[in-house]
Amino acid sequence: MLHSNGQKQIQISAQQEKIYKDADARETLIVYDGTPSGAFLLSQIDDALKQITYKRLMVKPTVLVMVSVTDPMEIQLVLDRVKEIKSVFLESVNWITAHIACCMYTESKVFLEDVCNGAELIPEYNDVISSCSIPTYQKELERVLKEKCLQMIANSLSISKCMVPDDADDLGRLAIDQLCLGRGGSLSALVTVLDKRDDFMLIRPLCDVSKKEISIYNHLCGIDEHCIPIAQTKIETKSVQSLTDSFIRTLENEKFYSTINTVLSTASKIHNTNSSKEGSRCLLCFVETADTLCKTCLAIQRACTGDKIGRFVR
Amino acid sequence: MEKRRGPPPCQSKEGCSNPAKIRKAKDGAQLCGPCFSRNFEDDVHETITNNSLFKRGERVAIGASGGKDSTVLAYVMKTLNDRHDYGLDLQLLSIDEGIKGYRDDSLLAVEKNRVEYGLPLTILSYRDLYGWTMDDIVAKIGKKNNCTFCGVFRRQALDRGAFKIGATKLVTGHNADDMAETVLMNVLRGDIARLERCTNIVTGEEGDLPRAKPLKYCFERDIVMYARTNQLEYFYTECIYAPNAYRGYARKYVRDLEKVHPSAILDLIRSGEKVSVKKEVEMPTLKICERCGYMTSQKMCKACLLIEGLNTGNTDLGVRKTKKSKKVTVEAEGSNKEENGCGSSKGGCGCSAAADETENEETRKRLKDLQF
Repeated sequence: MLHSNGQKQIQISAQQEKIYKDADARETLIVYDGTPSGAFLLSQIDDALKQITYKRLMVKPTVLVMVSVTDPMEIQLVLDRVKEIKSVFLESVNWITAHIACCMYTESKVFLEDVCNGAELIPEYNDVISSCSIPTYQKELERVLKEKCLQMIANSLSISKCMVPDDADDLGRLAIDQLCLGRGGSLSALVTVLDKRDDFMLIRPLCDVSKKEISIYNHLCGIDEHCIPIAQTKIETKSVQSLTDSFIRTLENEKFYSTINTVLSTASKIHNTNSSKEGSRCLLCFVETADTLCKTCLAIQRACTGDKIGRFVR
Repeated sequence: MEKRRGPPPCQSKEGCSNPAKIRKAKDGAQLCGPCFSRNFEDDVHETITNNSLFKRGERVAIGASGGKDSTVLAYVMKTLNDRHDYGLDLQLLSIDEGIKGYRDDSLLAVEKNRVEYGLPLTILSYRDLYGWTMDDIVAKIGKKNNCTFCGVFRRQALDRGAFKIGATKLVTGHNADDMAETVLMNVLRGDIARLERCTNIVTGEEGDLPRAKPLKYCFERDIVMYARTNQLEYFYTECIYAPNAYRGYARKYVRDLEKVHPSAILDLIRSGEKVSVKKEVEMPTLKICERCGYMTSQKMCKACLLIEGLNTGNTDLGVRKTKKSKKVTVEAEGSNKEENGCGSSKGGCGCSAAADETENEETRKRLKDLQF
């Protein structure tokens, strides 16, 4: 039952939003970040493509393995593990491994298979992140640059759609974080199924599936073994994001289980007061309406030493 | 030997040479006492003028509870009215909820304000308006949900009091922390109608009595410092009845945010200001209560519903969903049980409709072992 629910969720997301109405634009970047949600998404896409009835998901996937560890040894381990996983899921499609540092590329690149693309830019990327002195803005900058990286890679591959493995728990926390950063008006774009940008579309098919459901499914279906610790683990400094996480945990421990669902439902019903004014988007976050940078991104820029953000907005 | 460092000089724009004593929570500026007070008052004045909160000659009721926010509000309003010649007729308005050992003491603080500021004071009580005091209500319903009764009754009581004294506007002491907390609470509760309007500096403009919040952008810590700097007397005991548990979590979160990332408070307010409900979402329409004539989105306003519950002994009325509706839902779920399950036990499915009970049990055991 849980298994068919997971597939149904992706089908519903795709159908309701009419994401694939254009037969010519079925190429989709499927992001695999090594997390249980990432492995779950891969398995669901793999299953949906194998269907022979009307249930078949009509997409042409390219798997993007998104790496954020910085140690060369760890990167090599990731590449080895990816080879194994490739033989289990989506064997016949293109797999690309790229480091989050790809966001530093200023123009389109040719991405090679079986190497970690963008690894040569890791020192430069670390330099930008460490230039930000405020922990909250540092984490937000990492998130924004990750999206920038996805957009950069998608553009280079001439793909306009990108499926990310963000689950309900991630998105619920993100919604509250963004409220605290002043982006309340853009919540709908940031946490619902579809985030349409100029020539790029972020799809979040797991936005209604919780981490707990994914863990249970992965355990029962033996997908647990296909997770890789790709993300960089850092010493936790106090920030808005860490406070939000402990706030949600407290509410869940106190049996307010529906908090995440309510937050996401609220976010889906609101939009920016000025959304009718189809002005230009912020050059860094792409969600807020602004001539150059939105207020939050300006604050991030001010928190960074030197002109480290300038390269992304020119 | 290292020379001991003294306090830094005041960072006031006026070029004050006094040592700084206070760090303003809102912008981190280090100021001396008089410059802090002036800066705080200028902030409130800016809020009032930028938003054209008042018209000359208006009678304005100040909601006064005797706490820090309303005491500071009354003092600042009087100071600014005199300094900038707003031409307002200011009056204090208090509500006596009937809580012995709490409200009777705080009303003494309001009485002192009346004498010191020379502002007329009107006090309305829950007993006169509704026939119930909060002590009576708590005795009847217990300590759970009593904040719902108090909040609904106080809001309406303030409106009625303002009408009684002929005020055309009501000002309340809601500060930036309160606003941030309210934005968060409305998101957590999914109350989109309130979320859309809760950060408006003036609310209720569609009715007869608009409410304004001149301290909307003032941080709670700055309000406390302002009260101390100006030696204002206020009542600072928490309500003796248990505070609303859920709001308590949001309050703690907002306080933690202020410590770790102070700008988050104003950013939360900014978020609320930018929000509007999508067109396709159905919203409640404003009507008139059949019983008392107060504005409501239902047939009866919340206050009348709560009083009805108290008078008839049905204390859940207006507080939570009825058991009847819950029962209906449970029954409906029961009847759909077979349809909800996948009906197959071949894949080891242990959901409600699985045919094989032993496999059900086995899967349940596996899930239990996971200990998520």
